Amino acid sequence: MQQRGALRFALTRLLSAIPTLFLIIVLAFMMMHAAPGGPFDEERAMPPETAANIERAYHLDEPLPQQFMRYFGALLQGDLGPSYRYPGYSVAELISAAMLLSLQLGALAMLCALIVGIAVGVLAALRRNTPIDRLLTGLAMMGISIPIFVIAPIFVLVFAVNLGWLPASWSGSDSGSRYLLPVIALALPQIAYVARLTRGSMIEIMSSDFVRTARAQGLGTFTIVRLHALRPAMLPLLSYLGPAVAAVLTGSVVVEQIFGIPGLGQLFVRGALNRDYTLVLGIVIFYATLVIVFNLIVDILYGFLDPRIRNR
Amino acid sequence: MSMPAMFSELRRQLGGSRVVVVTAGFLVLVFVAAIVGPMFSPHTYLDSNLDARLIQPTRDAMHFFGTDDLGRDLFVRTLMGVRISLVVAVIATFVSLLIGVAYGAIAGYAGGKVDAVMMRLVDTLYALPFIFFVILLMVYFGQNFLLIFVAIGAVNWLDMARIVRGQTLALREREFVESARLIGVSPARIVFRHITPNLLGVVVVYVTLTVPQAILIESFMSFLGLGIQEPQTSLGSLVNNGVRHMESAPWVLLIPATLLASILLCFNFLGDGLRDQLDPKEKPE
Amino acid sequence: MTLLSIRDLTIRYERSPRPVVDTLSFSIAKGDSVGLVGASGSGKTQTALAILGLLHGKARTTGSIRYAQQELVGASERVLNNIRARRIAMVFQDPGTALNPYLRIGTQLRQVVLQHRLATGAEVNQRVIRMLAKTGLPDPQRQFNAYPHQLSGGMRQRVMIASALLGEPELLIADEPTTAIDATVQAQILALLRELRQETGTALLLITHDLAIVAGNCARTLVLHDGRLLEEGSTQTIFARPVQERTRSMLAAVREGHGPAAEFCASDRGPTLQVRDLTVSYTEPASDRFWGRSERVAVQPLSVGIRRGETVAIVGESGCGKTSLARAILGLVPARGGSVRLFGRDLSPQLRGRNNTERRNLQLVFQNPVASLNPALRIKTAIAEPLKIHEPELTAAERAERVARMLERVNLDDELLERLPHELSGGQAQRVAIARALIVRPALLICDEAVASLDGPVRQGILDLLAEEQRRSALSIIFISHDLNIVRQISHRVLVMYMGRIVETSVSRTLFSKPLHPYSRALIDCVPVPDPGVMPPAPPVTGEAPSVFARPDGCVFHPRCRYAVERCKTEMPHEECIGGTLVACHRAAELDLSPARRVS
Repeated sequence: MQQRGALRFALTRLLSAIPTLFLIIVLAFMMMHAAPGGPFDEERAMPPETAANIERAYHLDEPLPQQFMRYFGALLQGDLGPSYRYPGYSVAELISAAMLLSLQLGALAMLCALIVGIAVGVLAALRRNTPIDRLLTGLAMMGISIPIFVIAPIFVLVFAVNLGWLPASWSGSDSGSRYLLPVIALALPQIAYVARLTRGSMIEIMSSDFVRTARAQGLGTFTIVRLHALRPAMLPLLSYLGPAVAAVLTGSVVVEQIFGIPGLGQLFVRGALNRDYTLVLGIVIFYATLVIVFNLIVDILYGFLDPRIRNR
Repeated sequence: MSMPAMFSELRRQLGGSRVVVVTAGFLVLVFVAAIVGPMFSPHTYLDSNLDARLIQPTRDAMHFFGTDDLGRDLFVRTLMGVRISLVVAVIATFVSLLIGVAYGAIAGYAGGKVDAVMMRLVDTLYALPFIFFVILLMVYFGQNFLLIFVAIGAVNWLDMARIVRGQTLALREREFVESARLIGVSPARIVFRHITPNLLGVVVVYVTLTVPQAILIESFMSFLGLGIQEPQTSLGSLVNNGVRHMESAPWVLLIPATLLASILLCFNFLGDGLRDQLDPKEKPE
Repeated sequence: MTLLSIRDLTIRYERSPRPVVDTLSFSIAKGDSVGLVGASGSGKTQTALAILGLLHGKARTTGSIRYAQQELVGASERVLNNIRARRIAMVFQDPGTALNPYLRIGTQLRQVVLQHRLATGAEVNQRVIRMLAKTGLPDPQRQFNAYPHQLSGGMRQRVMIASALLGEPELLIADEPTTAIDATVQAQILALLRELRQETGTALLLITHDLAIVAGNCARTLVLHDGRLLEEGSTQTIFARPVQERTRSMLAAVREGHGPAAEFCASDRGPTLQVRDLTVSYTEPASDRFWGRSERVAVQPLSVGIRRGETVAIVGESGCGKTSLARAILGLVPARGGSVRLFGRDLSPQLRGRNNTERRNLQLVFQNPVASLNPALRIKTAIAEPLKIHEPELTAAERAERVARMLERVNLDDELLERLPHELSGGQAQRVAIARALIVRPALLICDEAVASLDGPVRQGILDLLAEEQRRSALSIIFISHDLNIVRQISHRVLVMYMGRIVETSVSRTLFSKPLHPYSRALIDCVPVPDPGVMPPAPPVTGEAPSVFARPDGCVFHPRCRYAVERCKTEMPHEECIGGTLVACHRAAELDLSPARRVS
């Protein structure tokens, strides 16, 4: 069986992802309940019996393990409980309503980052130590260093306020152009990361013995990059994709805040500020699942793409 | 190891290049300004003058960076923000250094099952969207200043632990450690005398990369209103405030934003420069 | 007719004060075979890379390299790409890294055919497979679809040679083509190169540090030193009448040495170390099941004793278990069974179970001297460290005195005391490592390929030092090596290991004059003869040692043994004593394996 190595690799990864996820759920749940004060404490002038009623309605009077079992049981059926602050809505409903927009933005940003970042990285590597390389690596360093919450408002200031080319906020327009600034702001640091990573691994591969062999065989630079270098140079990139998803999620919180986009990030910040515990808990679990699933896919892909793991 | 010996060891492992000198110089300049600058201004970060709101940067009344919407002097507030960022970064880095180096060195030197279990835990924590947990912490436990340090340190130690563990593991397999074991050097002495001095370079590099991360997380949370609370300020909350007034008074945004970006940029360049010195593969021949 | 002509070639790196190749001139005629010899750092590889325009971007090349009428120095990539592979091809040193691990063998070789438009359509694959078959690769049809890591080192080097010959070049440059592989396989690869050259008439530029290889393979020899041409001439002349002193000492180093310095008398010496039924095994993830681990036995139960003042050499191909055996004796890997006794007392299998005296008595010298010294410790601290542990009662002054005396014994200048390891040369570092091991007066010193990374006179110096120390203190030495020339010089007794077993234990002189095991004889025949007058024999063994997972039934050596009979395939031979030699071979008594010629 040719691919036993890869299958074994995938299987172990899958099995270790499950306890990770469970641990995260427990951790998040405990944190929520360890917090001083209940979710309804701030409500002034609530008669004790009303408070008791509410607590009973939300099962907050039960012992903690029992509450957890109830929560976990519902979770397995995709039920994240009711929102404390948006009466009449369940957390699952709120998340699925906001999810699409956030995922769209995130996916567009990642796509943008991969295309531009790889191109920039390969170019810089092939022109190593030339002015072009120095310019590109300098820009990439800026992309990594300048936080999204600095670059995004400056974009708005320049392109929306001063030049008036693009809408400053989400609600200000219906056209596709309203995607442009948020996606670019979200993608910039990722472009920079991908470019640096690609440049680094490309340089390493291009100075490897087997590329020297290929050159000694009379192959042209284009053929060498396409046939010999690109695939091994992309492998480190693959393992970066997992953390990249987490970074984009974090970034989307800021971007949605600045541009007023009604996505998951905004929902999360509002929930956090309003102490809407079930909502915040639900979003954390959703994010964690997303990150873990992505890491898992990446790991498994890695196993299939590297022949040394695949045929072990 | 004595201090001079430590510095000569660092010089051996890291050397020095132009990028390193320039960026380190800039950072020292900014931090010195943050510490002594406010002493030379007639304003404090609290004084608000409602007659002088959102005025442009000017030498009049020594409002070098202008004022904000409450008429507070931005020069002093910005430098105070740098101070806060600096304090947060130093303490958080120290926390992550402490946990990370100890954890990593133990896992790396112990090896085998101990290492596997310890690193599996780190992997698990890595998979968490950690920043959300930090936000959760802030929300539930209040915006406690101390908690910010701990939370950021708790996020950042993972990288340090991984790096130190990897390095220790590699060093442990090196012949000179085997040679020491054969001679009869005790495990404690091997760790402190033979392994730790060789870790110094890596740790310094990752400290310079951890500091900007800590600054970034702190300002990120302050930007969302979850970090430092008014009237205290940090670069993040200054940017946040700047965004609100950027259309009428762009300097309120641009000055702290530029400063924050330059500090982060310099730290990253510094760390990168040091890492290049450490890794002969990247070193220009 | 001159094929390649090099005039005043100078290669210089930006920041280094001295050029790595300095006004080098030579030429190669059609069908010629030229050996380019020199120690590491003498500029031989740089010269080869310069010919094909493959030097690092920071290198500055001046002078002239002409191929036919084409100038290659400063030529465009387009011009070079028409020369590369098609006119001049190259085989690199390490076939493990010279092939792309992510691409199938076939894909990599096809590209050469396509690039130079040597064939089209189905002909492309046919041509590649034919060439693979020609280089003696077993089952080329299947290897066409394999990845490099699925092939052994020798097979990979055959693939490299096939890829170089695909373009039917007029000149083949082989850069240390056998340095990274075992002696048995080296003989096969060199034979293959001779055979292919005879068939195609390709000229050969063979780069090596080993004069003995040149003797049997090259008509002309160039000796390089510090980037300059030291001596040039027909191989016959260079070997018979070397002009330069340095050439003479290089030749002396490959010719038979003077034998062990200290004569060894068995009668008056007791055993230092007694190894009984020692077994070493490792586990790794099972390859035939999804779960669990499978066991890899590196050393089968074996017994051996070492007496005071004796040097025992352990030889065998890589993976035969010689290093595992040494590491188990030292306690660096726990033995799975059996016992190790030092002066009659059992040692714990784990290093941490041994006391300071026991540790002191067993010391190791590593293959890579620089890596065996802590990069952060100064030389004086490194040498003094063992004293601090084993003789803590010494004052600082006494310690310094002992270190100074030790340094003198290993012939090092005391100005080195303040240096760090990376500031030493390989030979100096190895002397420091030996000083560090000997300062605690051990009973047994294990040298694991201790001179493999050193060449020529430096290597000889270390061997002399070891012999001297042995005479001084009746030190016992276990000398692990794959190089029979060295073993013959230094050892009193030799153990020949194959797949985790000792197949022959013999007094050194007897082994070389009258080997009893076919494998021992094969190893002896694989040593290149440093004499241009002797035609190299056909490779004495085919193939390579199989993986220890696939340990054959019966005698482990039978699949590669030319003397194997039916009985060898089923029945494992036991050690028997024939004329003072222990040998494990069914046919040892009936075969006469004495080499017809003495190697000298």
